[in-house]
Amino acid sequence: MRSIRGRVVLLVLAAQLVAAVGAVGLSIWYVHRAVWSSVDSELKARMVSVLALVDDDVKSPDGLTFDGDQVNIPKEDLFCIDDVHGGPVAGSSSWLTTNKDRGQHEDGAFFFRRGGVIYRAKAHMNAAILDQENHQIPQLYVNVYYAMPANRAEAEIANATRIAISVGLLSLLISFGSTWWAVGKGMRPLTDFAHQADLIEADGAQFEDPTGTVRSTELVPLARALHSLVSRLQRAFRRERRFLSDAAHELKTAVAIQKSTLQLLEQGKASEEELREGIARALEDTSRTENLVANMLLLASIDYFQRSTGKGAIDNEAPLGLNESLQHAIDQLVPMAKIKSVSVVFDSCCDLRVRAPEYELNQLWINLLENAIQHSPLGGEVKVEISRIEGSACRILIADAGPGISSEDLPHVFERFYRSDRSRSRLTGGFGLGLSIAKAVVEKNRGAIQIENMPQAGATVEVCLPAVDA
Amino acid sequence: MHVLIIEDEERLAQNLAKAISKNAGFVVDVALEGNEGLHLALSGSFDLVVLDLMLPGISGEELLTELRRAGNKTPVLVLTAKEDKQTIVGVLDNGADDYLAKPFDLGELLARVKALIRRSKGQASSSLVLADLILDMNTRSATRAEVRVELTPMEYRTLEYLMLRQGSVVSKEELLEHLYDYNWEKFSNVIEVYISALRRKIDASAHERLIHTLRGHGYMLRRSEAG
Repeated sequence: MRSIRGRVVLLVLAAQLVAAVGAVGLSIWYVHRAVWSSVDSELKARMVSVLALVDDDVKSPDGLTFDGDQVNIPKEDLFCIDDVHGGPVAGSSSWLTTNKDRGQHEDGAFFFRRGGVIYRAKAHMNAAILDQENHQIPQLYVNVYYAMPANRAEAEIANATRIAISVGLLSLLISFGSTWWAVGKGMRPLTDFAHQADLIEADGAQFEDPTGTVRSTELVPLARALHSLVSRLQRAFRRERRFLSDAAHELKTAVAIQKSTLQLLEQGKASEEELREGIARALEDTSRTENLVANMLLLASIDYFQRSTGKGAIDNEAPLGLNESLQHAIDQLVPMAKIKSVSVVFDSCCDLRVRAPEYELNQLWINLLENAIQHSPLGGEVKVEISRIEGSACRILIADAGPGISSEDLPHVFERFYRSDRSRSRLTGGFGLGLSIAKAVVEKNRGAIQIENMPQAGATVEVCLPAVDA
Repeated sequence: MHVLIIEDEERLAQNLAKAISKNAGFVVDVALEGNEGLHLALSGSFDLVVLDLMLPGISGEELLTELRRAGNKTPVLVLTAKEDKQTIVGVLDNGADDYLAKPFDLGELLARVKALIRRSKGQASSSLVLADLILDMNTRSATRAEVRVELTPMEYRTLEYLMLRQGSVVSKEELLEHLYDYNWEKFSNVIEVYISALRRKIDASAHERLIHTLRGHGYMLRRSEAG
């Protein structure tokens, strides 16, 4: 049986059944004994009253007389008196003639059936006859049999048995009902949970904290666990949904630009030069979209990595020289720096190595440097500095001389698609993903990243990564 | 007609401006940022505002609320990448006249822009009629007494604006505001030049004069009083 309720009820019923059978059996046995013992004492009394009518015959020394006129017993009773040699002295006429019912010749009670009626009988062998006149020591002995119908006693026993069994059955029924009800009521909070859990939508519809409303203390841990699970899922879901909606917005906008550029070419007549220009613009738009998709995929792949393989897998990465890695990224950004006349000053304490995928590390530096160059004033300076810090970690500082980050934006700069100055970052092709990717890459490679405003001017990004011991 | 585009994606704004000026012959101004957009829109010299919702500075929703609170009645077409019913109902309830979800079709955008302007001037049809002068806004052509009138683009724009506002006085300043972008020299006498050219092409050979000058007030397109 798979239902808890069914199993509990079954168990309780089985125990109850054993107890009931015992109790009913015991009471039936007791009633049985009591009824037959009272019947037997009645039999004995009637037998004595019959025996009293036997007297010695004055005419013959061994003869016995029976005063038949004095017999005063119920007419359905039977009795029989023999002398010790088996000669009949007196008795109910029908019983005297047939010997077989009193077959035994010893003391005790017994049953027999006669004419469809069951009789309880008692035999007394060698009963002494007292001399009525002078109460002498008995010299005469007889065998006495006395029987009375047992139907009344049997009806009494059957009645008692019926009552005992009915009481047993009734108690079984009551305990079945009450157990069924109590277990059902006890399980109600569980079904309530199930019902509530059933109502939870993926988008995080209402799920009230059930901890306070649970009445059974056994269910409180379950309620608490359920609530915390649901809240965690809802938080994660909200985060995902926001990312998705932001991503959709960016993608739609990118597509809108591409589409409008192409449709513009389609409308009216365009000269060859206009067409060429239009195609160049469309290609530009496409590479922007490509860039957006690549950024989103990188983020998604890091997320996936974090969730599936955990953080141990980067140990397989070959150690990379930090100096070379940063220098490579700086070289890539020379054209961009030139446009803004920004100079990048690179300073390193020593040759440190880290374990991280080359592509990710490159993307990290590119994003951080791009950000610094974008926010630098014309002709400004971006400082890049590598140092070793306590333990075995490297610290990379990238500082710009720009206006810094407003205190209102500071807590959000690592959020996906967050843009403090949207129009400006748009013009430089940003999507608000650069710092999110940087954070994801750093955290995946067991590092830490933070950004803060410098007292004088500009913002500084600090990246700490575990170094590989030489 | 003068259209203001408030859109932070510069490339998209450029494409829209190009399409609207090229195909509808409207004058277009672009604002890349919310506050600037609101400031321009409040000047009241636009016949339509194309508004993106996600803007730096103040958001499109806030801009719309401010604009309507100031009593500005310029029709607003909202562009949005958000397509959920809640957003759409929200902006329409907030005073927008229409919306278009990104990525949209340029042709549809143009049709909606023209329809919104037409409606806001009290016209239902894209064909504007006054006596036997008919102006087709789709083909951007005019006929007088079933004879095609050849107009330069600027003459057409001037006539279109006057036709849309037929029966009411239109000042020279209003015409300047709605037909030229902000960089134009506002005190030039271009308007007089275009009006006299239109008179020559439309009224000279006809029996009924339609272009009227109200000295010191401006111009009005209407039928001459009988007699």
